[in-house]
Amino acid sequence: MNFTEFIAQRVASGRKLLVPYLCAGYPTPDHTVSLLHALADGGADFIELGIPFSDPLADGPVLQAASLVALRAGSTLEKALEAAATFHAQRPEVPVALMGYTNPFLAMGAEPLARKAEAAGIAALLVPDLLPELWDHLAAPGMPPLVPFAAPNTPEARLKELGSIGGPFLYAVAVLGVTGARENLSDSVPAFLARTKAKTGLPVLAGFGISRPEQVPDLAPACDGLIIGSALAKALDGAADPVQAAKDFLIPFRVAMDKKP
Amino acid sequence: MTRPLTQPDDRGFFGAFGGRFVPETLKPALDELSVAYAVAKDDPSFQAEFAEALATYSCHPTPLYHAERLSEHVGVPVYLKREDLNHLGAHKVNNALGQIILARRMGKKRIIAETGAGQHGVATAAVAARFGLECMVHMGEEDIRRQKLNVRRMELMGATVKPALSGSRTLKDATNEAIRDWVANVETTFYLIGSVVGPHPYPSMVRDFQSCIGREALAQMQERTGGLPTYGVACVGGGSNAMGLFHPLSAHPEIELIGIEAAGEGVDTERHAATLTKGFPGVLHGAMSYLLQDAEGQVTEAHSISAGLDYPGIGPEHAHFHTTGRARYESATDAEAINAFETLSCLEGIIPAFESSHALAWVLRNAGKLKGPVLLCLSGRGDKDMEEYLLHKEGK
Ligand SMILES: Cc1ncc(COP(=O)(O)O)c(C=O)c1O
Repeated sequence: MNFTEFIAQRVASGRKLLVPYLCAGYPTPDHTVSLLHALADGGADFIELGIPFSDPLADGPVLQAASLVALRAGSTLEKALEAAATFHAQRPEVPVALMGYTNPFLAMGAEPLARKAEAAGIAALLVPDLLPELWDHLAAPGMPPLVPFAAPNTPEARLKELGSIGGPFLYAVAVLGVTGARENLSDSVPAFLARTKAKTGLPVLAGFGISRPEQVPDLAPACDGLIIGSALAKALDGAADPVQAAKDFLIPFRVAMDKKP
Repeated sequence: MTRPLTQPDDRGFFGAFGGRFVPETLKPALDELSVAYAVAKDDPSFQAEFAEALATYSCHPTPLYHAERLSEHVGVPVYLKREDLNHLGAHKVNNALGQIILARRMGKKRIIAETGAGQHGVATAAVAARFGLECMVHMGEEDIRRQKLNVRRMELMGATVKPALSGSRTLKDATNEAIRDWVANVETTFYLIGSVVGPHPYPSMVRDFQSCIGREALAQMQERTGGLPTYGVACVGGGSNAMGLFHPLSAHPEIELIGIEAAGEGVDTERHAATLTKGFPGVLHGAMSYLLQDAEGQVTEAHSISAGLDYPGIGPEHAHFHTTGRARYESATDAEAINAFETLSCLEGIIPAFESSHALAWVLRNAGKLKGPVLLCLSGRGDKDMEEYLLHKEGK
C-alpha cells in the first residue's frame, strides 16, 4: 500500500488523522528515533519529521528556536534520514514524511535525496517554500510524492488547480501567518477547511496554530486530520524526559479526535 | 548593434535563477503585484509620476562627473555617476519612490521594509512619510545597535523600527522577519524590498526602478564623450545599483560590466560577503541565486565593513549574468575599500560610501592596466561611514 492509499484508507474508515511535527535533532540528534516511537505510541497516524534550516521564513519563534537548537546540536538532513530509516525498520506501520525548506534539499541534490528517502521509507515530502509550479526542482526517480499547500487567502480557482495537481493529501495552513501555537483560531477556519476539501477533492489536513485538544471538536469535523507542531516543540522544551513528554502531550489529542461527535 | 535586454520568463527566472520560492500564502500577493506592476509599467501616468518624483523629490538626472585627478591617477578617464547626490545620499530612494507610488495605486495602506545599515529603511521611511502611509521597518537587533543614527532618522520620519531578534540579528534575519510580517498581513501590506532580490517580480521591478542610473549615464556619456565607456563598474550587495547601471549598458556588447563584491577580510577567510566568488546556487528569501552556505545548505553569515554589502545572497539576474559571462564579478577587501575611500576624498573632495568604495577599489587596483574610459556608479555618499572609518583608523 502506498502512502496515498494509506491516507485514503484511514479517511474512508472515518478516522481523523493525528500528525505531529517533530523537528529532527531536537533537542539533540540522539533523541530523534525515541521521540518518533513516543509519538507513534501517543497515537500518531504518521509523523512529519522537520529538517532544521537557518532561515525558516514560514515559522514563528517556537520552531525557529527549535531549529536553531537542533542545528547547534549537529542536526543534518543526512542524520534525519538515518533516524527515519531506523524507525521505519522498527515500525513500518507508522509512516514518516519529511518537511523542510527547499535549500537543504537542493544542497543534498534531488537524486541523492530521492535515493536516501526511498531507502528510509519516507512517505512524502512537504516543502513550504516550493510552489507546485517549481516541483521540477526536486524531481528525481524514486522521489516520494510532494504535498501541496493551501492558505485562507488561496482563491477558489487555485484550489481547483491544486486539486488537479494532487498529492497524498493537501496541507491546509489554517492561519495567515507563520507557525506557532494560537490559543484560538478564527471562526472562519472550519469554513475554509470545508471549502478546501470541496474544491480540491483531496484529503485535507490542517496545521499552523493548533495548540490544545479543546480545539479539536471545532476543527476535526471540517477536515481529515490535524497537524501539530509548535505546541509539541513547546512541550518538549526543557522537559526532563522529552520522550515521556511527547507521549503525554499527544494522547489527549488522540482521545479528542477519536471522540465521536 | 545593440542587444535585447534580459527579461524573466513566465515563472520569473533569468536562466536558472530567480523564480518564486515562497509559501502558497504569498502567491496571491505576488500575482497581484505582478499584474499591478505590468499595468503601471505601460501606463504613461505612472511613469510620469515616477519621473516627476525622481526629478523633484530626489534630483534626477544625477550628474555625470569627470573625476579628472582620479583619471590622471589611474591613466584613463573615470566618470562617476553621482547617485550619492540623491535625496538621503544614495540610490536607494529611486526604488523606494517607484514602489511606493505603485503601493498607493494598489490601495495598500501599510508599508514594510527590511534594512541592514538603515539606508533602505531611511529611504522607505522618507517616501512613506511623503505619501502619508504607515511604515514599519524590520532591522536586526545587532544592526540597530550599530546604526543608532539611522534608527532615529527613521523614527523622526514617523516609521516604527521593529527589532529582528532571530538568527544572527542582521539583514538576512530582518528580511526573514519582513517576509513573516508580510505573510501575516498580506491583504493590507505592501512589502517594499530594497534590492534586486526576493521572489519574482521584485528583481526585475527593482531593476527597472533603478535603471534610470544606466539610462541617464549612457546618454550623458554619449553627450560628453561622443562614445561609450569601456567599463561599467559598480559595487554589489543585493545588486540594485549595479543592475540599475548594467541593465541599460548590457545592450552594448562592447561594454565590459564589472560587479565588485565585498571580500571583507579576504575571500580565503570566513569573513567576507563575496557571494558569486565563493557561494553556490541555492534558495534564500524567495529566489534561486548564488548563496553563501555550508555543504548542508545552511546559510552562513556574511561580513563586510560596509553594512550595505553585508548580505549572503545576490540578485538572480546577477547570477544569470555571471553564468552567461555578460558581467564579471570580482571582489575588494575592507582594506582596499578604506584605501579607496581615502583616495577619492583626497583627490576629488568626494567622500564615497563604503559600498561604493569597493567599486572604486577595483579601478585603483587596475590603475595603469585599463584600456579605456570607466563609468562607475558612485552609489552613495560616505558621511554615514565616518564613525566606522574613525574606529577603523583607531584600530578597533
Ligand atoms: C550606498 C550604497 N551602495 C550600495 C548598496 C548595496 O545595495 P545594492 O547592491 O542593492 O545596490 C547600499 C545598500 O545599503 C548602499 O547604501
